[in-house]
Amino acid sequence: MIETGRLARQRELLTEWVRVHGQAVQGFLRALVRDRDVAEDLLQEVFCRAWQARDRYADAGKERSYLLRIADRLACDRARRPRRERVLGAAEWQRIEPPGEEGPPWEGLARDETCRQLASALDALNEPQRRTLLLRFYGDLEFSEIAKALGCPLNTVLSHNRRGLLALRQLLQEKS
Amino acid sequence: MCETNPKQPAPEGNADPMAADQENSERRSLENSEQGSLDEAWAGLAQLLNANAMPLNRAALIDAVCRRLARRTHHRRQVVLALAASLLAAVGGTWMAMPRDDAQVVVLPSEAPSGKVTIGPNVKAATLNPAALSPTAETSAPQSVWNDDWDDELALAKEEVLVTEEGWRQPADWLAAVREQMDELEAEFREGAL
Repeated sequence: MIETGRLARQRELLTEWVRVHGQAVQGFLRALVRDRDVAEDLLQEVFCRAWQARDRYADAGKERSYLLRIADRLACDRARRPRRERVLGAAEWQRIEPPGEEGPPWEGLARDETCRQLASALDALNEPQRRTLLLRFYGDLEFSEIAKALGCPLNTVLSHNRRGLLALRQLLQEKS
Repeated sequence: MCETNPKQPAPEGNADPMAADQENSERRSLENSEQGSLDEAWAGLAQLLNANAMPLNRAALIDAVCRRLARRTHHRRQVVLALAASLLAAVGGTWMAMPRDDAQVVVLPSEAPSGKVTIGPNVKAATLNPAALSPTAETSAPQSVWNDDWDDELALAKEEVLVTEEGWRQPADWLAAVREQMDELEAEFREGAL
């Protein structure tokens, strides 16, 4: 009975994490790995890992920072791991899993356009700059926390932030 | 031509307050313009990221996470059970192979026709007639050497044998110890998962 109550409370905690931070972690992962399916897989893994290590989670009240640090680490690990999976083309993928009703086609076009713009903006950044800016945007983390997550000095993070934003600025000027 | 180091402050005697003010204001406006462009870039990035935000199916995500966790727990349990089974087998094999100096072979006269042989260290069989142990004693004349007082002793001995045998077949303490080890293993496994 006590065990059931404990499990119910833990499930509530997990639900709360997903409800409050799920969107941010999803956005972070999608922007970082830029593959919808990989991001979905990593998103589930982030919450699994976070839930499994919940006893060791000491920074109470900083759940988003905790979840984003796990997400960042998982994304980096995945990028370093040799690829074993086969990448399916859009047509092949649609054959396996047909798309659902997602609104009128012009919405899809607009989404594709913003997606392309975001991809080109993120391409203008190198990996540390991208991680710094995304952690700052989605986690609203302090630079010192980002430095801790990236494992580099504070000044380096500040430099990544500034250079990343300057690169983005240049890209925006070129576009306009 | 006189070259000056821009990083070096000008000598105080030659300081021109107007020039210093102008330099400061230029630096400030440069910093402001850079800060402005950084803010602009940040706003552009934020706009793109917000525009690309996809709706999240929270219920599906929670279900998927719970399924994943359940699968892992099941797998961990199977690993621990397999470890425990192999541990038990190894310990049981060792125990069976252990030599026992005090073991006795007792043929109980009442069960002699079935040929049951009981091995154990705590069997009271000292009162049995050695003749009953011989293969020919079964058919010769067991009734002639049997004393009626031995029935009680035999019953007691049989009870003890049964208790001892049961103790061997269900080593509760040992099982409890193994179960404790399994729990510890599982806890360690769970802690070291991340």
